[in-house]
Amino acid sequence: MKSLTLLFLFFSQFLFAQTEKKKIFPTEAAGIQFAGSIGWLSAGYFRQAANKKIELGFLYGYTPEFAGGRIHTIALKFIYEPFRLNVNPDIQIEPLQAGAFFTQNFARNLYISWPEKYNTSYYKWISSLRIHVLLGSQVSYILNDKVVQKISFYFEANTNDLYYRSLRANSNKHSLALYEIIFFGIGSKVYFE
Amino acid sequence: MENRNPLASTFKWFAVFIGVWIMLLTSCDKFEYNPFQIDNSVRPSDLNAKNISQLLSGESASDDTVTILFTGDSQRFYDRLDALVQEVNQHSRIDFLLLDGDISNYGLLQEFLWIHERLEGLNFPYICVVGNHDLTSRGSEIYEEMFGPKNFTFTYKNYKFLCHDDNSREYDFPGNVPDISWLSNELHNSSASWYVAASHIPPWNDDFDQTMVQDYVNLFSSKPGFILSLHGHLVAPFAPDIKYYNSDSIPYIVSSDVQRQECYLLKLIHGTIIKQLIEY
Repeated sequence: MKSLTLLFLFFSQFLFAQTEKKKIFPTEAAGIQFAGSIGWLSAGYFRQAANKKIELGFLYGYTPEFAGGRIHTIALKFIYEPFRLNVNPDIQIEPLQAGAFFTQNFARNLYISWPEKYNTSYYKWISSLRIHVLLGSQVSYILNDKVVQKISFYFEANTNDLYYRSLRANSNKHSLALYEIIFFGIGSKVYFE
Repeated sequence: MENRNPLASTFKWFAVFIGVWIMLLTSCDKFEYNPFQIDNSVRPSDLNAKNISQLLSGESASDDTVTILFTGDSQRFYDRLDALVQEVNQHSRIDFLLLDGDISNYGLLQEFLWIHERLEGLNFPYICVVGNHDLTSRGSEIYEEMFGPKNFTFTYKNYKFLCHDDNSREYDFPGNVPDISWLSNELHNSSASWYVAASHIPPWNDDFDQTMVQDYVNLFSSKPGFILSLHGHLVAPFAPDIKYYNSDSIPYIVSSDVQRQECYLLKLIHGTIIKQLIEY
């Protein structure tokens, strides 16, 4: 729990610090996402680095009962966008987004540290904190008006540490097909000037 | 008249557009809401009941031998389960496969589905008992939705099978896991000739409530026709294993696990047990 708090404090500097002086993350964005392993629906706040190749996001997601919940999720997202194609003055494409996200999930029988009924290292995985990797692509419609710079839609594929450990159960060959551990999400972001 | 408002009309079409997309996406199980979700569009339900009714529909009066493929701890070893299905489908006469707990490793929906997709390929039904790993995360709810109650019985060719949850540690040793009064009731209000118990944790393991061992084994010893208790949980070098209590002849057998690519073929003939180790 302590390390989690420290992690959050560390990244919250980037997310919420006054950036007028430093201009580390000048562009802000707000977004919503459907699925993508952080909730049936999630919403979040994003900041872009000055070179616009790195984006950090903080999201809250909820999985209601009808979607197999109830689960509350907070996610910290890191996205790297190496190139950006300007198709025409209105449309911009980021064909490759690669990154990772960490989720802390809150639901019945999920624990930040395992309960005392288990001996030390009885279960050798973290109960409620998941580490995901993602690959995605994004298309944006450029507005460049006073408030809104662009509106983006993205598609994202991800897997998590437990699925990966399932894939690699055997040391020499995959235990599952790779496509079996990959899941999708879609979302939309509004970038502000 | 209010509809003349162009903004309202745009909003209406936007809502329809979003609605269609959401319907499209929710019908596809590749859009994952959360790894810990307990349901999705492809998750089956009541598999144990369905498989038992399939088993009973094939019951014939002429053949009273029961042949069980007995294994456990399939957790994470999906490719080895593929090999198992391929191998055992060539055997001519198997009544059912008994997977004695730890279907999943992390209690996740996807794990249960990956196992189910593979065992669906069997030429005969399969029955799953709940294991301690299946009770982690949201696994307890997933097991109940997908397979059914954790304590259940069925009678096939005059053998009554008592499948039950004995994962005491998962409940912090409450004193009623395993549920001895339920077991006693199921044993005594029954007219079957023979009885077989199946649960995940063997009684000599620490994860079984050690204060309940004597009552548990005494109950089985006291029932005429009780021939066998089946377990999983242990892996090599502690499995496969066999132990006896109360100096009687009831074997408590621990299966070999999927990781070792071994399982038992058990033949029950008029209350006697013939055990054969199969490699795949």
